[in-house]
Amino acid sequence: MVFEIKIADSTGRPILKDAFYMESITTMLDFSWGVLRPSSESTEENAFELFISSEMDCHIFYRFDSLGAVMQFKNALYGHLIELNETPSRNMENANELTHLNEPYKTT
Amino acid sequence: MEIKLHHISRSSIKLFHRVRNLVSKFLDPNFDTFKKFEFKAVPIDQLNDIRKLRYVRNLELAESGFINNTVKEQLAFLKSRDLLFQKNQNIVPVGRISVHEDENKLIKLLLGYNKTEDKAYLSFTNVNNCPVWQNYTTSLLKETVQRLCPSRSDYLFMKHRYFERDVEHLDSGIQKKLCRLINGTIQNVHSQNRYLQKGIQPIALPLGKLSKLSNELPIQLKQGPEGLFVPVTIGKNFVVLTPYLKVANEKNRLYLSVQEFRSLLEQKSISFLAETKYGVSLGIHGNKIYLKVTDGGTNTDSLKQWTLLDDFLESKNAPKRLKYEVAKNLVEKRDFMVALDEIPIRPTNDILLLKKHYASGKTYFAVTQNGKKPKPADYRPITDLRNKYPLHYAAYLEYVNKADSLQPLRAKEKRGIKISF
Repeated sequence: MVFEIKIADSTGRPILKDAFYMESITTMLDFSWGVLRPSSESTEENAFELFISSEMDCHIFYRFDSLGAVMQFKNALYGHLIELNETPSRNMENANELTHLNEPYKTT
Repeated sequence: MEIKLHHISRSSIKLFHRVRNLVSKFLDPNFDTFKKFEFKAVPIDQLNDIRKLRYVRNLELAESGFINNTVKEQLAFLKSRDLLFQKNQNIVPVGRISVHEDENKLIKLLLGYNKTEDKAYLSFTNVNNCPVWQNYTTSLLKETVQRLCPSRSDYLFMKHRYFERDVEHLDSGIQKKLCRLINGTIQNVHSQNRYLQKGIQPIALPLGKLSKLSNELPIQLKQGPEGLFVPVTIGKNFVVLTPYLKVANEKNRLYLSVQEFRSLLEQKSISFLAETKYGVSLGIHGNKIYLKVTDGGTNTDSLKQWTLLDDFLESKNAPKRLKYEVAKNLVEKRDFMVALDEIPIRPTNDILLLKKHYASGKTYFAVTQNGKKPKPADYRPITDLRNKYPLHYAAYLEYVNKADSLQPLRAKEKRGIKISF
């Protein structure tokens, strides 16, 4: 699933806008709240803001006190994405032949 | 002649692409920027954008009339990846099942569903975190799962996650169907691999700290695959168990106090053996004797849980009087009775209870009248039965004759109960 990550500084100006793939909304929420939950959300009016959304909805909106805290989350997320992305070139060799393999499984 | 034709053909390709690029320059501002700043500055194999790679192809065709293999291969790669991404856009992820050996993940399987096609999909691999979806077939699943084997131990275990946030926008009927699909897949994966079936957490008695239990391996709490539960949370005061082969929900999760969980594990492993006159019950597990205070028996904190006999005798907190009774009557005299059988007496509601004295091997009896359970001290030698209860004696004789012909009693006596004191 494609997600868009957007980070805005304390004046509301976007400082990062990027897209990434993760297997599901549930997985993205499990990971994000796992990183965000231990710290408390900023109550300041001028805070750094994080948005993570898919084509369906905005799933994460979080406010950080400092740029350091934002970067910590961003680095954790990008590090996790690299961990998840296993052996892409080897997988790609089989991608074409796998796409149209096998008889369909009807769930009805 | 052939060389001349080839030259004409290449010139026409060049001309065609020059005109095309000229049009692109006016229609697509990105094309001109790319031509000025990125073309030839960025290595082809580092271009991961299919649009930019198409610019490269068009510019090279306009320049030389042909493109090299690197561009062709990179274009083919990006086109395939684009197809995967397009396919993934229409598939709703349903859940993940992974198989592990210790901390190593051996396989990750994703389940997906295409609403338009009403079809389920499977993925075992991904490209740039985008799953490579294949049509769901049981044969493919079996084939993949059967191959998995451990390298350092003799068991594997599974983890699974249902993507409830991803399917919540679907109709409730479809959601139920997808929940059944993932439950069926989890059970299928488990049943197809013998190393997964071996991955059950042994309960080592006496139970020490519960925190030492694995929160990934299942415990067999009831018979059959439905009885496998994983202790996902082991707190100071409570334990949460989730079903191993099903998606967990509020109805099938077990919330137990530590006390309840301990007794559940003990019940699963320790078999009740006998009740004694001195207020403790005996249990047996692996030929070893365990003690626990009988309900309404000795008032002591030290035997509220099943305790290994040796540990009890070595304990400094146990009451000395009780230790003496246990050492003298249980260890030295083997003075306790093991339940043998229960004979209902017709037409009364009485039940004749038979027990065998462990040291002497003699049979004793007691009668349950009006459902009232006799105490250990109420048991009398079987020789007294004829005088005290003639009707019950007749039933006993009939039972003995029947037992002799079928030999269950003799077989029981012959097998005996081996206990290590």
